[in-house]
Amino acid sequence: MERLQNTQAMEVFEVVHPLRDKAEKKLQTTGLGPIEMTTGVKISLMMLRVYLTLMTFMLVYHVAGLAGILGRH
Amino acid sequence: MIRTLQVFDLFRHGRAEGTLRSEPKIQSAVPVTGRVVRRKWQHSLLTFLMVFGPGLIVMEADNDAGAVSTYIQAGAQYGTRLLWLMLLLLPITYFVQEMVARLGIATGKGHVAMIYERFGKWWGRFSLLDLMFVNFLTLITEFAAISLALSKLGISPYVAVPVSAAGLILLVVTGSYLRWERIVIGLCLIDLTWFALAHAVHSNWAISLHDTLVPGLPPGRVDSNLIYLIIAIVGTTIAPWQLFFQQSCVAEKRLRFADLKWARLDTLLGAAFTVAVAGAMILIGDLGFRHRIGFEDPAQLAVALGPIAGKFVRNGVLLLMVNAAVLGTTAISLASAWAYGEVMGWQHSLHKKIHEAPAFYAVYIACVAAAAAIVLVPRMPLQVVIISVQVFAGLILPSAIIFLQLLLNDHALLGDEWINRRWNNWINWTIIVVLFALSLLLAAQVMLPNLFG
Repeated sequence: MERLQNTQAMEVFEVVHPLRDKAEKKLQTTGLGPIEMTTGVKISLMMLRVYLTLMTFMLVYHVAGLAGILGRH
Repeated sequence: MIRTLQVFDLFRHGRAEGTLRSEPKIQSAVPVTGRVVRRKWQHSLLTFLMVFGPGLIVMEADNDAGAVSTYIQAGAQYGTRLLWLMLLLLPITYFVQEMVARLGIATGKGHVAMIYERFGKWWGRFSLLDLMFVNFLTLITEFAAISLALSKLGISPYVAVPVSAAGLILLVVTGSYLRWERIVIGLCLIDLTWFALAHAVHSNWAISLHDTLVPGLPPGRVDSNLIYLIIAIVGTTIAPWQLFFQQSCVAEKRLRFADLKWARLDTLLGAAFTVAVAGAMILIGDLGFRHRIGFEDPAQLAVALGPIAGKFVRNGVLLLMVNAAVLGTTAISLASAWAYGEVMGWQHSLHKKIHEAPAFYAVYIACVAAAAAIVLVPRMPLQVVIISVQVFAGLILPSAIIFLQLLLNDHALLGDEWINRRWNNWINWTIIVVLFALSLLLAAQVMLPNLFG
């Protein structure tokens, strides 16, 4: 800071660490409610459900196999 | 935040406020709290260094114990033939994590909290519980690696594991995010040693460069082992906890809108560094390939490499395995603690002292301590844990990434400025489809092995 005791009109830059800067106002998210169910969102969530169902069936099949319920393994 | 000031303005009026350049707002005389530099490049560099951290940490912590095992195995089984895959994964990891950083900066909130808010409690709880579960199982594998590597160096697991756990707990309970970040960045940079090890094993750099730039498959039949390994490499390079970790970390560091370009650079450099380190691991595995060394885990390979490559390589691989596990453990435990604390409405910040955020720290400590304790149980079925990690990661990664993509297309939430551009969406949907397919294949291979012969 001592170096600043130069009275010439000289351009300088101040860099503030994010944690030492004043808090910035972020995008408001509360009160928005659920996401709008556009066609894209519906299809994506449906695909996700199908995927998770498939994974669950595989998991159940695998566990059943390990437990000897399917007469395998 | 970067401000352009006139020197005499500082003395005449005190501190200037706002992202000046065009419209300076002069406040009352208060001391300048930032660093003042004279050159544009200096403030760019300094700002980058201040923002730097979350991107490198999230990427390099992903080179955890499991990743070391996968990459070394890739090298030991197929030499340098799969190096091109790492280059291919570089942009993929970057694009996924860039979205996370953008969402974190725009909202200042974690990923699970956003899923709760926009997709409801059911999806929120599903994401949170799956994340917590898969993270915990992964932590067990990290401590197993610590135990394995240090036991090869003559340190009993009953000493190594509790001491590591205590160190990992001490790392976060100091009440300073910056202290934690600086130490963890130091741990990340220790991974530079992988390059020295790769150099020490006399890799053929010309062939390595060729195999990095020219995609190709190992000679012989494309069998289930190869497919499994390719899927495992992809799954290792893009882990579900990374999405949750970086968004929370960016929020914790309070990155500002103006920091986004530096956060992107941080993420890109982190991705490049991580992929390069992974490549070095493959080169070390390649030495095992060239000498036809059989092994079950990287610690065993390191010991077998000792007589061929020397003590530096042997001990280096073992110690770097420990470093990888420590990095993975602190990042994964924090991902869990941040997510759980935010959803529960607790104080959930490393800026808080332990008595100010007891529940948040309790989650972190419980994750670390329980995983460490389980590893010390005799005859613990580690193979079941590893398979469970793969299965549950296969559940959480596609779902987390779908929510991420939908959130980044949410106009009501992000407005026009922060949402994905059309080209973003093309790239991201392609990545998502590929990840869905690979996750499904991996799960099918783990759970229905008969399908693959």
